[in-house]
Amino acid sequence: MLRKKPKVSDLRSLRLLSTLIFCAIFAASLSGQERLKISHDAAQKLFERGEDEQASVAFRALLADTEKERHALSRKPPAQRSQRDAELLGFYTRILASARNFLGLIAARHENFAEAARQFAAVRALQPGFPDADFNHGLALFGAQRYAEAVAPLEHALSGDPSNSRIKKYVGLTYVETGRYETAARFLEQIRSSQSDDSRVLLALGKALARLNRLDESRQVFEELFKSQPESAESHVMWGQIFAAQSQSREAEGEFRRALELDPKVPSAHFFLGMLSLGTERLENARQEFAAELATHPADSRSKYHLAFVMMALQQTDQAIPLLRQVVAEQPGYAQAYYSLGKALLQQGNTRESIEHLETATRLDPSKAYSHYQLARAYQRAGRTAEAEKEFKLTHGLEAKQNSGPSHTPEDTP
Amino acid sequence: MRNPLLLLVFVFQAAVAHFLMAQSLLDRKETTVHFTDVTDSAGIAFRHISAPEKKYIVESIGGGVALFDYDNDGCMDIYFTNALTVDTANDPLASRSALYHNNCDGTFTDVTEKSGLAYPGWANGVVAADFDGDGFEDLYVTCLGHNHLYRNNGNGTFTDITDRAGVDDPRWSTGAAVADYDQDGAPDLFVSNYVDINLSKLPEFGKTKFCQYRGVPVQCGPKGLPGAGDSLFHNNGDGTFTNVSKKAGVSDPEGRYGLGAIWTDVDGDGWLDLFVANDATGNYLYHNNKDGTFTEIGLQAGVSLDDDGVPLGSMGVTVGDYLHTGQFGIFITNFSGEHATLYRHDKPLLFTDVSYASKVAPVSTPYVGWGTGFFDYDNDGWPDILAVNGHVYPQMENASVGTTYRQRMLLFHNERDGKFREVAAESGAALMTPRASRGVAFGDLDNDGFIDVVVNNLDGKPTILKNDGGSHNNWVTIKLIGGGKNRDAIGARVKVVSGELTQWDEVHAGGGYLSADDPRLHYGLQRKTKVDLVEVHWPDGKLETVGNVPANNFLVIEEGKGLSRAAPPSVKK
Repeated sequence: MLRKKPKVSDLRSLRLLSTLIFCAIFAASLSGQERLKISHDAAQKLFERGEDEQASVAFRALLADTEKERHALSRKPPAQRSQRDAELLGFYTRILASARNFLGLIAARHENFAEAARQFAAVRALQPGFPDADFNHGLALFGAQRYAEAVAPLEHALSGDPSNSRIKKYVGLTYVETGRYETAARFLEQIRSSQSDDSRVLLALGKALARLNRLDESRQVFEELFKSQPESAESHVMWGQIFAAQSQSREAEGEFRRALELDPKVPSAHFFLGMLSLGTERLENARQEFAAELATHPADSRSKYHLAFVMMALQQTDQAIPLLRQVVAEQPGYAQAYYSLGKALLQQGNTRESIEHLETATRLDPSKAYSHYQLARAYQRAGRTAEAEKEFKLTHGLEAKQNSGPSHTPEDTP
Repeated sequence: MRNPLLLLVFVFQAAVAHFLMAQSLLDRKETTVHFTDVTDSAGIAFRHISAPEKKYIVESIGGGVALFDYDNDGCMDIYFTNALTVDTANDPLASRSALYHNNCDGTFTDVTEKSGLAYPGWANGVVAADFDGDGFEDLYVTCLGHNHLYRNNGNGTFTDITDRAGVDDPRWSTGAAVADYDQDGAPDLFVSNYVDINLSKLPEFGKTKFCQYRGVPVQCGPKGLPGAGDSLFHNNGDGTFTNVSKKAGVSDPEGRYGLGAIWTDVDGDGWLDLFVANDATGNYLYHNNKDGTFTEIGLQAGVSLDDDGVPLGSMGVTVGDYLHTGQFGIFITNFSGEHATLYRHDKPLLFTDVSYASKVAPVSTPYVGWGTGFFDYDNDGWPDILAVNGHVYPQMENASVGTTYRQRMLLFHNERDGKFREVAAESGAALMTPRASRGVAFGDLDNDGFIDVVVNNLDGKPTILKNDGGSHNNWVTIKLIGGGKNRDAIGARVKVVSGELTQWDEVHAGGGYLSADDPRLHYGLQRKTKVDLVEVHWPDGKLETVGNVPANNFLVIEEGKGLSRAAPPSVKK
């Protein structure tokens, strides 16, 4: 009989098991509070050593234990709780917040930003004053491309530490992604010199200035960026974005193609090629580019959303709907995705569910006339005349406000 | 081959195949319609004037054209509007509009001087209608500054009766459309206005964020500039009009940037409604309340914005029964980076934006669209669409930003399934020539049964596109003469039935972009040799029918008298 050679993962599991058994035996001899503290510190050590898998298991076990203890205590009616009970509840909350914070950090370290955002959101809910909770949450949302949601925690973090240029940087980057170019430019100008090692700052600043039609300043920023970046697939993607921001589509396309020649899997090159095609209504090309981006980066929600958007334009609404469902599941704060899903469902005659998603879109971002308009159309189709009229009025009011913007700019469209 | 029978079969099959192939080639050849630029040979020497750099928005918008038979000789004459520039604004003689008389032989004669229509000022749009019911078509010209109503004296001359009639609008007027909205028998006049502009305080070129396009400094506006309201003039039936804009509810107090306008009975209730295409702001659809007032229902009807709830830069508008449902769709030309929009009429007062589903959207995106019209260019019985294009910014010519200044036309062939195929490239080089086109009017200039096209191009010569009738399909053209003062029968709806083909059309005065089409209704009949039924729904509610008419005839139907004339094509080529 052949004996199987033990695998590395088996050995790791064995080591983890023995550590946990040791901790459990040791902890059993201690009070509940001490036990949890020691388990926490042991898990933290694993985290600090970079043993994320074990640390994650340990923190999850700690969460379960702590929740159990806290649950038992919180069942006591508040009137019967002693001073000691109150202290214990506070302790459990701190342990829970810390464990979730570490789980968030682990997820972020592995670029699982959606999970990181979930954990950091829990930290903020458990203990609003937890160190860096706002910033971490904002950063995770930024990493998950949930820019609109990232604004509030990042702004909150900045209000607590107004001179922190790192926070300021992410606030500025998020403002660019959410179209607040004026404020973004102001923020990014402030930290331009202190964050000069991060090319994203100059790229975002250049884009914001271009959008604000401060073209000479934008060009200067981009020139600085050109000089500072050595050639790589990533730098060609960046240069492509610079050309695109200056409406030089042909040059932009050349840069993205060059990036793909150097590294066929370089992030975002296919995405931006898709955006260029979309801008000129080459819908089939755009569809292929977004699909190509997703083939190499399946978690890229932007590409998923835009692929669905193009499919709708190509009258492939049936195929767009499942994609949009994925996007709203991954990005629950992405108002535009709810809008598109609602619109697609309305086109398919699924008025009831369409209304549900369009209501979410208007709740998440009440400033968009197009969401209110689509919701009004959905109510109209459902025979909910009074609600439709209310939404038409909102559309009309918002539309009048939007009329004060420049003529015929791409930002006018969803 | 040993078996002679088999040989015979083979030979027969080969002969059939050859015949079918030849027939197929013949069919293909026959169904291709070509348009040829005959401007020069027609003797049209008109040149539109505009400042080359177009530093100001006032220099980018004009260029209307009207087809109308001012002398009742049965052939469509042409009037082109001409514009001034900021530099020549105080010299009304600096640019000359033009009236061309159709000699009914393929050529035209410039009769502008005699007509008295040469110098209306900074002219933009034009509409022709018999306002006083005397049997002669009058002309209303919209201007930057004072508008003009020219009464046709019936002898080749016109008299400016604007002040006497009370139809002046000193603002920046653009579109004009005529119809008897209150059913009192006299045609009324709607005028759309664009921007409230002061020529002595023009916004500086490229100065602010409102004066940039894709990073290129350009003229300012319309956004950032105040809009001008619109006007509705009620015809009192005694040669005078009353401005009823506010009372009627169509004065546009929000100041949207009005351009193309058309009267059409949207819900088929016999009362004419009004559509106004607004640039960079939501469009208006005014529903007629049948009491002299209107309710604006653009949003509710789904035609104010596009499918994504976005207001577009709308310029021209046309309506047509493109699905053969009797309910007219609405087609609108828009700015570049947007797309032309087609609204399908699903049920009364409810439309759906089908621009993508109908395939008119993607191909139209790079173009700034202006004049447009539904017209059956190949007489297959299904209305097609032409849109003429050209940017407002000459600075786009060398900007490499995905669009150009001069642009070709778009010809959409109706595929009979709700979709359109863009066929300009296969319909004549003249359609593919880039120009800065504005107004377009459709009509049968040579009375050969095929619709020709006249385009007014900014700072240049116009384009007369002759339809070669290559499809050899049959047709019928109908001129209506109304009973009362509305002799043009504007607003009448006419159903034509030929076999399984049922088509609806409506008599319009004004529409498209700043222009007016041949007022006769034209129906393609495929290869059908007769019309089974013509059903006329007169503007006053009366119904009249004419049956069993041979194809390829010009019919004249007079209200209460039925068919008064049926004449075959008569023009000399």
